Amino acid sequence: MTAVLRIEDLTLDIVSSEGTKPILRGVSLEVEKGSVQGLAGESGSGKTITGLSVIGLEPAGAKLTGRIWLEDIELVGLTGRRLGDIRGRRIGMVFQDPTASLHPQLTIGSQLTDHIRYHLRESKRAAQARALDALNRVGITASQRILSRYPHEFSGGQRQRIAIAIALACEPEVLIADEPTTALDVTVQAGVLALIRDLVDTLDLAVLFVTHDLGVMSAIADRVAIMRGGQVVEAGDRHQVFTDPQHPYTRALLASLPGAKGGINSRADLRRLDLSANAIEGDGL
Amino acid sequence: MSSDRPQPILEADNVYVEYRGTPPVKAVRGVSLALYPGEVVGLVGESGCGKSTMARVLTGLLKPNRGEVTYRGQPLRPLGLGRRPLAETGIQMVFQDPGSSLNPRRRVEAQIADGLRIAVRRGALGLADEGSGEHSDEASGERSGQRPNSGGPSTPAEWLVRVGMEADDARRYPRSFSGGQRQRIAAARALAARPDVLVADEPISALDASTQARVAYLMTTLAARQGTSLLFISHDLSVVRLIADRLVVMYAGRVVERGPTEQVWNDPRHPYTKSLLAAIPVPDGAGKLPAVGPAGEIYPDHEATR
Ligand SMILES: Nc1ncnc2c1ncn2[C@@H]1O[C@H](COP(=O)(O)OP(=O)(O)OP(=O)(O)O)[C@@H](O)[C@H]1O
Ligand SMILES: Nc1ncnc2c1ncn2[C@@H]1O[C@H](COP(=O)(O)OP(=O)(O)O)[C@@H](O)[C@H]1O
Ligand SMILES: [Mg+2]
Ligand SMILES: [Mg+2]
Repeated sequence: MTAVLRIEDLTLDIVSSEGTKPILRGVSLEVEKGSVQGLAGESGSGKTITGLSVIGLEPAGAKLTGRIWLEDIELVGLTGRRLGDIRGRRIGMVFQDPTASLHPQLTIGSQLTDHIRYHLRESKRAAQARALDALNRVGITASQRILSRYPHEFSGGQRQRIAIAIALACEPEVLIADEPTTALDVTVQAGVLALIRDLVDTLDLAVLFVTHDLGVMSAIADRVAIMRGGQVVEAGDRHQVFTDPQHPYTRALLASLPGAKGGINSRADLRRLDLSANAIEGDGL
Repeated sequence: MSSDRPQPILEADNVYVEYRGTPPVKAVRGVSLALYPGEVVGLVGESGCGKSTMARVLTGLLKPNRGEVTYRGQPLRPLGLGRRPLAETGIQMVFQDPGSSLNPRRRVEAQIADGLRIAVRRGALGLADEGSGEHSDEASGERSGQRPNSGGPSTPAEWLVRVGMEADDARRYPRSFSGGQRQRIAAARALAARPDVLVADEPISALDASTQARVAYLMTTLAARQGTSLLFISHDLSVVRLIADRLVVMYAGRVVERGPTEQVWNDPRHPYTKSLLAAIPVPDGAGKLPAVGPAGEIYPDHEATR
């Protein structure tokens, strides 16, 4: 097993005029080739910030300590062209809202080919061929006509596929996917999950998959990490975390979910729920 | 109509809604839906299928192009200028974003007191409180012995406790609460009015997974306790199927399937319902990808047969 991406003891504070706000408190994670590392946990626990830190997009005022390795390159502190050579080239990313990764006024063809030409410095013709390939790979039957369309001419699920195509066009080793299916209907989500799994298996891609949905996590992740209050409170093999959770927070989380082992699977289970607002301490605060 | 069958409290009959635009959007295309006293109906379907449009029609916020809504056997007058007729405040609503159910600039107690006042005016709660509402907990707490006729909470503080919060939270403003807490406050405000019907449009969709089942069950039990019928709208079946007595499945502006929850969940008939159920990912650690339905299939227009 080879970890392509290693996050070691990452600590992040946001310093502003209001003082110092601790966001991440010693996060360590590894993502292996051909495998999906899931990252779940409560809202505000630091999942998104962890993913953004990997690609050098942490918020303004962030002070970061710890190390992030892509193979043997240390990413913390990289700037300029050296960061640009990695972000989008060796590490692709996809976010919840595909409109955030797609420019509304540019055809998807020019977005794909600009991205490819910037990173791979290929001829226009080669970049176009690669763009068509990338679209075919995500299940969009590609043609010159498709390339000349604008993002709004596609459905939500298709737009997310296009965002994935751009993220993967330069054949990165790592994909950071932050809630990539959260805005999609479940039937559309099923297709995108199957696509990501297929890319992991066929391209040996390493994926850091952020989601708040433990059903999605159970479907896609090989290894699972659960975050809370800026820390990874539990990490392990998917099956182990779901069936034999060790941390009280993970246990409480699963106990409140429909479909989970020991979760809410009947009306009788509902009746034993603690209904007070702070039943799981913090209640999403 | 036979007299041994209970009358629906709220009923939409063959409703059509078309939004103007180029092209116009046929959002609802012939939907009939009845809510009987005290029941919980889950209205499910994917985004854009017309659930929120039906919610607005059923609460009188939107006049359908065709078809009629009756409340207690009388045509529901859509909200127009001026105030909604008193009887119709027997229909309350909770939205996905608790921000749209609550006023950010008023204390929580004042907003729950609004609900209580509606209940009093409708004669659904015994006590009249003529005060401003800001201090209603002290005010009505003083009234000796007298309790509202049905024995439920009669002050904002009591309502907060009923929805799992602290009495002290009454003095705070909505923004200082988490999403889950705000949704509890919105439920308290709506239910304090002792409505006959509560229409909740995606009330748990914006909440953390750990909170969803608890808030849904809380709304259900509180509604049941005071005999309020609940229309619980959601695109996510995994929680709804646990709280609803009946399910109504919409697809592209129509009802494609309806029936008792167990029947629809265990034995879906319509191909759309089948693919919807098969696509729900289960948090069991099995690593099973949800089934991918037939790509881009348009299901035939088809009203539920049962
Ligand atoms: N740009 C920013 N400036 C300051 N604080 C921020 C910024 N972005 C996020 N935070 C704070 O950092 C913490 C972690 O946020 P993050 O977005 O990583 O959470 P998350 O786990 O992804 O939550 P969610 O499930 O809601 O997406 C939160 O306290 C949040 O308020
Ligand atoms: N105010 C509006 N103006 C125009 N179209 C609308 C409006 N509200 C909803 N629609 C359209 O009507 C359809 C049904 O929407 P909606 O009832 O909100 O669905 P749901 O709540 O099931 O997601 C969609 O195609 C939507 O885009
Ligand atoms: Mg996030
Ligand atoms: Mg809606």
